[in-house]
Amino acid sequence: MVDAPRAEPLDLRELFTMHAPYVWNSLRRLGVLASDLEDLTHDVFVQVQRHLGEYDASRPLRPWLFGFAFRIASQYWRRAHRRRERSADAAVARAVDPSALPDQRLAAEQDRQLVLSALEAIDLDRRAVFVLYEIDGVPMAEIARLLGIPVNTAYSRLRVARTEFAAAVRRLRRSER
Amino acid sequence: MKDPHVEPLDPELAALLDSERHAGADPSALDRVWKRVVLPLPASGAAASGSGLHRSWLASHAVGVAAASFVVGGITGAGIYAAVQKPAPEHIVYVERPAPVAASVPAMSTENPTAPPPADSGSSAARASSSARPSQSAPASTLSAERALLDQARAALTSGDGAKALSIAEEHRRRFPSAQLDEEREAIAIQALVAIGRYDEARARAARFRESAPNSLFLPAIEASVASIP
Repeated sequence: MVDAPRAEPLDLRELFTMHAPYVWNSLRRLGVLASDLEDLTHDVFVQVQRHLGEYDASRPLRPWLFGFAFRIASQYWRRAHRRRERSADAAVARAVDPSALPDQRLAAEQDRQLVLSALEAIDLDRRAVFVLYEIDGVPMAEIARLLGIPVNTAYSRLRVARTEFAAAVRRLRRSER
Repeated sequence: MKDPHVEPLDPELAALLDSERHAGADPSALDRVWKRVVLPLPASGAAASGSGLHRSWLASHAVGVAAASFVVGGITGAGIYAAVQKPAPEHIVYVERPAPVAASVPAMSTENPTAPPPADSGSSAARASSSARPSQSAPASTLSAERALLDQARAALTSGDGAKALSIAEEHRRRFPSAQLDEEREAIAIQALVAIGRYDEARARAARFRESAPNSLFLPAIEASVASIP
């Protein structure tokens, strides 16, 4: 998908139609529990609606949306009770029913659950850089601008996050055997 | 996307991430989210807007829609579920272009999740300063509390208890004088006023809403409600 600059003003309905799945999945990747995804996706679009006029059409749209998701998710995780609930709920949410899916889809779904579980090993600030770069394909300069950090910090966070992600994948795979 | 300063990722990990890149989202859940974003009530006059979304959604995801798909009222989420089982990859392809003279991409401060994005001056010092500026709007936890209260009001209105819906809407106004969901609250309150026969108040409040938020996504629902006054 080409995330090209826009010539006309943003329309919320079009934005939602085209990008709600992206926001939904960004929140998942930022650790929002399945049971909270509807509420937080709603909150993101309430914020987006309020700031539609501030979007700079010369910039890519999805990182702008990710910024709202990141801030909402950050606040979400600051709530202590969420952090306490996190481990148990996440384990339940990550379970994949093998009888519910054909083999190919089951394998893909298990891979996705592995990714989400491994992402949980990464601090949220580093995870944002990792997700934006490795999954969304956002250039590092754009990521640094979005997060308000020096670009060298963004590179550093990516390096650490990669190491953490790889270690978590290895650990999770060992525990599956 | 290749960054000369970043080593290629291990191919096995890259394959895993590619799988996640193709993750979809439950369209019936998104359907519910959309209704909460723009529609104070499922059966309101703005339901046509929701249907417009569904049409648009179907147009962009229609390949493979099963014959079993069905539409009941404005609810099509279950019917279109099959259409998004294989969603398009989310991967973004960037086209290089000159940097704008005055970029205004938000620098994200996690301290204030709902603050308007600060302008980016281009310097890290300025970014640090702007991202640390005081909040101008309520935090997400407040948004969550607002949402919960208005969900109660919406449920009361849906169940036919206009008085209770109005009471909760007024409580929302008292508790959240700088509410982020004020337009949604007003839409609920106006419909509640219509429901309990306080037509003059409903018309007056609708007129104020029309003046203060002429482009609101809630206006069609409000207009439909006022138009239903006998």
